Amino acid sequence: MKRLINRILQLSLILIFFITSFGLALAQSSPVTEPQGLPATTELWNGLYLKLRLSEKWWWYQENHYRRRSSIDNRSDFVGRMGQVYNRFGMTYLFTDNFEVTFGPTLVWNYTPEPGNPEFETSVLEPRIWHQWLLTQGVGRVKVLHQFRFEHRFKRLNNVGDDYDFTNRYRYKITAYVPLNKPKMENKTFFIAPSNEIFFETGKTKLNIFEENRLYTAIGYTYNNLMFFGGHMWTYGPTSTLGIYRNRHIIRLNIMYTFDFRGNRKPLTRDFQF
Amino acid sequence: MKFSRCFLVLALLYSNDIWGQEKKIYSGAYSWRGFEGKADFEFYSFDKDSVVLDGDFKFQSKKLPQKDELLKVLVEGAYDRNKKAQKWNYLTEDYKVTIRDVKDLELVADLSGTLIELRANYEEGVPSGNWVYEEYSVDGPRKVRRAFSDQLLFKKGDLSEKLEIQFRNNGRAEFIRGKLLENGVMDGEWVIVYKEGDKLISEVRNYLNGFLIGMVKRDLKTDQLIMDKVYFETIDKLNLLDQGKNTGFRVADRVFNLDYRDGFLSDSEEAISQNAGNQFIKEFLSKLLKFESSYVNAAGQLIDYPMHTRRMVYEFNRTQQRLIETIPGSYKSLISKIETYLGDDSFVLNKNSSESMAYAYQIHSDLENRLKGLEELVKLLETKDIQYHDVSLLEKSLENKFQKEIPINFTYGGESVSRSLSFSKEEFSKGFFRGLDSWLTQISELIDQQQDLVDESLFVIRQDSELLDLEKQIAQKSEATRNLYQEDFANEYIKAVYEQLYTQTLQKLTGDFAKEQEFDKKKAIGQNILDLLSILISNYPELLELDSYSQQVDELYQEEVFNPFTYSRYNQRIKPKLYDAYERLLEYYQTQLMQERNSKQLSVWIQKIQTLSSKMVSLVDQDTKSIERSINKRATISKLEQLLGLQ
Repeated sequence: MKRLINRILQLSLILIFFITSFGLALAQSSPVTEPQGLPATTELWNGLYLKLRLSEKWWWYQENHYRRRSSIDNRSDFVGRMGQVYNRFGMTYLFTDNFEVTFGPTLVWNYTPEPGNPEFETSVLEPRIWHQWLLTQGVGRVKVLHQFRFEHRFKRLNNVGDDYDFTNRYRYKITAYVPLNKPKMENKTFFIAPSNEIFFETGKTKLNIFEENRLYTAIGYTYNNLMFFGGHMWTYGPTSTLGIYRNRHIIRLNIMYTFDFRGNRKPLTRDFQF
Repeated sequence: MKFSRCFLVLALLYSNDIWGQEKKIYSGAYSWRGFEGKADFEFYSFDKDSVVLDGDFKFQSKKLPQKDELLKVLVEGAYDRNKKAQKWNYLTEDYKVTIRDVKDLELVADLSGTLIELRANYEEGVPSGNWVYEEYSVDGPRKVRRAFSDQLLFKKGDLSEKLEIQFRNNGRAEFIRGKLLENGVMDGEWVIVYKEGDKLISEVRNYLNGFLIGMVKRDLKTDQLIMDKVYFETIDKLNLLDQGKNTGFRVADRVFNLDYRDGFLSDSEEAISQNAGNQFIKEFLSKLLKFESSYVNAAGQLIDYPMHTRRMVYEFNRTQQRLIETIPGSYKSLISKIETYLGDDSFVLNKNSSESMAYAYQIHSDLENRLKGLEELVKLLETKDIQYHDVSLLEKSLENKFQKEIPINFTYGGESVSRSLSFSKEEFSKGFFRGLDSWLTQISELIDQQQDLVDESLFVIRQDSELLDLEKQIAQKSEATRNLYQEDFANEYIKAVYEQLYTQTLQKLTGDFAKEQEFDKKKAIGQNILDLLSILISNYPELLELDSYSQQVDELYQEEVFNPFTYSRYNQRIKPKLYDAYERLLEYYQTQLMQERNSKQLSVWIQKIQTLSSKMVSLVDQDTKSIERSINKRATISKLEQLLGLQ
């Protein structure tokens, strides 16, 4: 199994290289020869992550996000408008400590870009089916995660009367957990976690398959069943208007919680006597 | 014993409870006068424990005292109600056999030895009438008469009229010849010829009614006069007796053994000159009376004599009588006092620790010897036989034992030291016993004085020695403790306890020990130091273990978890509030332990840590939610102990 995972990991890295190169090449080969950037906007994403262990191999996975974004006339206020309510659910099968697969639905409510404008619906539902392949790797004291996520989205704009489109999204994220106060990632560990995730999307309406790149630097702390995780994320990607790119500065504040429903503790040693 | 039992069985077979009515006959194994053999005799029996021999008696014994020796005894005689009566014949054969060869299955051996024939007469169980003693030397088949008694007449157990016995020894004649009065009292001229070394001594003694009045000793080979002794004092007293002018003395009613005494002890010339001749007579009497239990004991020693000397008996006044009563007690007490100190190992070992100790030891030793020289005299006082001694003569003969100045010579530090003791002899002018009593008292006082000095010296020596020993013990134990602890200085408990108790407390105690001058207090401090070191040593293994307790509890209160967000496995604390309480208590105990300067409290804190750890072990699988709910950060140590059930 370990060999298989290593093999997958090697192939993944090769794939990442090609995908990234290909995506960036596509972005460069768009009809707009001189891409123009929009001014940066700001957002605040608050997330709750749950991972509940149901058995030796099976977990319940859940994310609930409350995302706000900056006002139309103040791009720096982070919270001026409602962004999204984002609910992701899934079942995770943990093959090994280094490899897991998750699959399930996602229900996202996308809120109006212009609150009060009757041309937009206040919120529209975006359902998704998603599955994810996650591999981990220890590099010295650093834990490296390779996350391949695939989302099958049914989405529409908030414009009144807009139709749903079906698109497929391909995401790859590489994350490094670097412990700061402990030799390795364990309980009560302060850590820094830089990551980068690249998004591709395909569909009938998609001219550019490169969707977005997210560069995220977070700090966190593990405390028993909880993990506090937050930081700054910078995103960069094209808009629906060809040649126009947007970038965002997003503050992310997350709480992760895990619970083992099996109930049986696994003490290290219990066979000593005084 | 076996023969006695056989006899008793036979005796019971013939038992009859009525004396004189039925005489029984015994024939069988029998033990008689220390010989085992076979006997045939007639007897009466009253009960199983009481047998009365009566009638003919025959006993024969044969034994091999050594491999090459044969001892035969044949006894024939008669008993009259358990008392020997009439004629008895004794034949004793003592042979030595030397095996030389075996030829044609026949033994070739040399035979030598002695054969004694004794024909005795008794009346009422005591020797009475004529006795004939014949002794033969046996050499192969030849039997040569060696000794023959010309005259041996007993009257009521004592020899009477005269004693004549000759011994032929390698062509030389030894003999005893003398006259005896009634009751076996020696009288007139006695001639004793005997061998002494390579000399043949002729000893002519003159007795007058048992009193030895003169003696001449001559070497018959050289005709040299060896000794000519006239007992003038005895003669004077006999003359006074004759004249009826005897004052304060008279002839004693009882008679005495062969050793004549009158105011001289056994180490005097007068006594020593009698020894050889008397010994010759005693040897003969031992053989003659070998089968008479009232004269010769089982060991072959003469305990009574059939011939006697006489002595004077002297009067003592009341003062003398009182002193005769008390002096032996004082003497024994004094000897005991001296012997106790001479037997004291400490005194012996430390006798050369100072000149005064060496002097004291020599005084004890010399005076003990001098007092031992008075043993015979004191025995005379104790048995009251002193009344048969002329004390004025005794005083003269003992004059050298009571000196005004007694030299004490000893060696100290490799050099000879001479000192002397002075005694007053004034009291001797008031009488011998007063002088003797005063002499003993002076010695006793001197010994007391010396023993006080010895006690004092030994006390100081013992103190010094005890302190030295204590210091040695402290040094050894201290080094052992230091080496032990320094091996594990990496252990924080070991280091802290070492710092507090070894460095701080011990330092203070050793300071106190050094400053203290009073022995008892110093000793007590020394003992405290040893106790402290003992505690440090005995608690060392447990101190070393303490770390493992907390490590074990720490491990026990962790579980391995898999963090599904970071994909890492690590150990995570369980029952964190309980564990926090444990950590607080542990920290408190650790702090107290590591700051403790009272050694006796050391084990208390160790015990608390052990108990806490054990408690945590027992709680790990228990439902401790209620305890955990009660634990808060403000809870005191006492409250935490209470919650954890440690009080």
